[in-house]
Amino acid sequence: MRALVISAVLSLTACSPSAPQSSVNSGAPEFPLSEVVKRELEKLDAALALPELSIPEGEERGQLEEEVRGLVTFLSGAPANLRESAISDLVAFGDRAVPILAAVLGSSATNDSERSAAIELLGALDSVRSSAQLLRGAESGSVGWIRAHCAWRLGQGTQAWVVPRLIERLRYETDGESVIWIAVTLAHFGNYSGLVGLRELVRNGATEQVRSIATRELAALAKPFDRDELVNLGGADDGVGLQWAWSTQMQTTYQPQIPTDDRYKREVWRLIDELDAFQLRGVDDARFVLSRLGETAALCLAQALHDASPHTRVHSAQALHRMGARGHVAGPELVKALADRELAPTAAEALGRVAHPDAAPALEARLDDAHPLGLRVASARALGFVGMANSIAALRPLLAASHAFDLRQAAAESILYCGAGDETAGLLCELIESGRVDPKSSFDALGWWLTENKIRERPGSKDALDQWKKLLPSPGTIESVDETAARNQSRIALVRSILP
Amino acid sequence: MNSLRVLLGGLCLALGLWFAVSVFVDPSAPEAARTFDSSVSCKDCHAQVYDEWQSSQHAMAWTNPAVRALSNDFANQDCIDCHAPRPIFVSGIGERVLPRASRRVEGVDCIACHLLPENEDGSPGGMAGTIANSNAACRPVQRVELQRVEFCAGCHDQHETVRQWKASEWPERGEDCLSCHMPYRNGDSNAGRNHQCLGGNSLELLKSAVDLRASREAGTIIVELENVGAGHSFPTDERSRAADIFWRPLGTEEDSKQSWRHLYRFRSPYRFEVDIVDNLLLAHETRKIPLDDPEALGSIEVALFYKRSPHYENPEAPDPEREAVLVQRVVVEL
Repeated sequence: MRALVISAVLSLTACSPSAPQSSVNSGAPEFPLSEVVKRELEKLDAALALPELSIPEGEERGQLEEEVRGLVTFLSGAPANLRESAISDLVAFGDRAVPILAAVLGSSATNDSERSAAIELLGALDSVRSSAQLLRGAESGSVGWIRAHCAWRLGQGTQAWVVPRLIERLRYETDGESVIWIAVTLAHFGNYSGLVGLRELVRNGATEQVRSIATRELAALAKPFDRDELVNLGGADDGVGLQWAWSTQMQTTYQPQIPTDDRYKREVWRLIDELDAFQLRGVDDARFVLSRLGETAALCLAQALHDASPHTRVHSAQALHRMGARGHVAGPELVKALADRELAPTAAEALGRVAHPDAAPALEARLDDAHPLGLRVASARALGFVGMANSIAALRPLLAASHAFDLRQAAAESILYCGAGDETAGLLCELIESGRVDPKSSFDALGWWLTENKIRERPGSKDALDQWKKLLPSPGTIESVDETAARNQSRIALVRSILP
Repeated sequence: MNSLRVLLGGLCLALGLWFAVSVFVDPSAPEAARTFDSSVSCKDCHAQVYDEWQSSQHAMAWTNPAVRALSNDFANQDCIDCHAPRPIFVSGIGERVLPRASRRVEGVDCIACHLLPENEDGSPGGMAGTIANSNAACRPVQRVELQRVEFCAGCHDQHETVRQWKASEWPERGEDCLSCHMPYRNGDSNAGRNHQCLGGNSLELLKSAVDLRASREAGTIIVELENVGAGHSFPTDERSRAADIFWRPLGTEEDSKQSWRHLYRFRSPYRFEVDIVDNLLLAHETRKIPLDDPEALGSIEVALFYKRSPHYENPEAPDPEREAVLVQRVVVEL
């Protein structure tokens, strides 16, 4: 009788004319959202507001200005043995001297020696206000030497909050020397994102002097670390090993030596706030900087995954994606974010890059067809970047998802990355030929597969790899559709030639 | 005994199903909206629209070799948002679009513009159309937002194209994005709109956008370019587009073999090109450019070339005839 009742209920439920129910529920209750960014900014703004400067009025003000300007003039031509006392005298004025020094620095009537002295004195003050003026000089100084000098001075101080702003400046700086000193200052605060710029200047600096300074500073930055280890990681004096070690967080010694504080966090939250802007320019700048920061920023970004704005959430996850291993502390929050439908695909992609131990099981659980296609594709692709052989079994059923080409592609690429390339390299060739998938990621995967040890042992594989390299697109060249198709076809033929 | 019960239960289940289907399901009622995982699904019923779209820049948004090269193969994610967007109705009309994770190869596709958000219960939201049709397979519902400029703004206002239009006289004249870029087929509103979404890739539209003139005034040649038909700046969009005015002497056979000389460039620079001034030709604006060159004393020809990627292979000796599109040409006689 019980069977009869259950079957009747089931029958009636199944035949109800109401709309079909998705097996995936809205993520909102599982992943609470709120005005996270607004709240954090308000909290930090209130805590970090600087007390108003007590600038004297009238005659006293004139006297202060005269004394500070006098010190600037003196320092601009002072012999070495008297400089220290001039600087000590200035430091005694504290932040009251900052507006006057800023005026000297910004005035076109001031000569270069005095401006240089003003920069030195602002650096000696090493306060929030003085650093803000140096930062302004580094960002918008009218000539290269001012920007370079201000950047260098910031690297002599302790104001770590300037790091995000300097990274942003690095993106747009065109003066070689300024790039060098921004990179050196960033490294002083434990951020090695400027190494890329230094390496570029070593190769293509505009003058011999710039190339030579960049070479010297690159070697100096590597000096405190274990030389043999850096060589093993790709190179010591050329910065390659250090850049790799920092990017992948291989050693705690590459962590910042100067701790971040609330003011630094405020800069991070200011950038996260930009992620909600309409214009992608600002969004992209913010994402660029955030992805070049470290653990403090990663923790803020993990919090921002709960912001009410979908743009903030998605682009926070993208920043973590681009941060890679330096963002691994956000791993647990990214796993939770898989419950948020709007965020889930981007969170899955980010999980693949931050290399958190919880990533693989969480991603494998999102592969079945109860989940939206975008999440399944992103999870399948991310598992390839995690690269654990255990994931192959979970990925294999997706190869038969005939209607969803990019799901099959993502699974095939990831199986390849997880160590079973022979199984899927041929399928990737077929998918590329179908024209229904983006060939770029598949060619990347196949290129990686060709360099694997077990492939390299096969007859003819060395020649194949050499030919493969010749078939890579030339950087900066815009091919026609036909040229791209021909090159792709040659690469496919090459892969097929070494398949077992 | 247990087997008998299971058998009996199964029989009842089958009977129950048959009974419920007969009684409760109205065969004439429209089916619920389907889920569409690819724009290829649309082709069966909308072949003409699909073919138009497939030849459009929207369809190539992800695969266009020029876009791939200029975006570094989308390596830095910067361009994904607009080149493979989630459905606009989902991310919000007039809001910045968000990037999608699947089907990127389809670029700005049918789903990006027509798919409606899921219902609160997670069921598919169906498709937006200019008319409702409960008998069509995709069950389109009428959504007038499809025809509004805000619909295009999420992507195309990233470089202020919609704002340029709003600041012009075109809104008052009743001309909007669709008037030029998605006109009715053969001018017939019953024939539907053309989904090729032509723009700078159409010589016809380029020619109608501007008027190139040149005359000799007090010994100096004055070249004028007037934005007569673009509903926004010419060229619009930062980054890739550029329009260049070139000239060369005219008269002898040898003159016609001379290379073009560059006179003026209209362009909004990449954000990294901090030393280049944004000098797009605003809607309705006329810009006068003097040509004061001793070699221009005789007859000359002046030409406007349009380029969809900004850089010439050899900037010192550009070859516009090979690398750009000739839009207009005028002759100034001696």
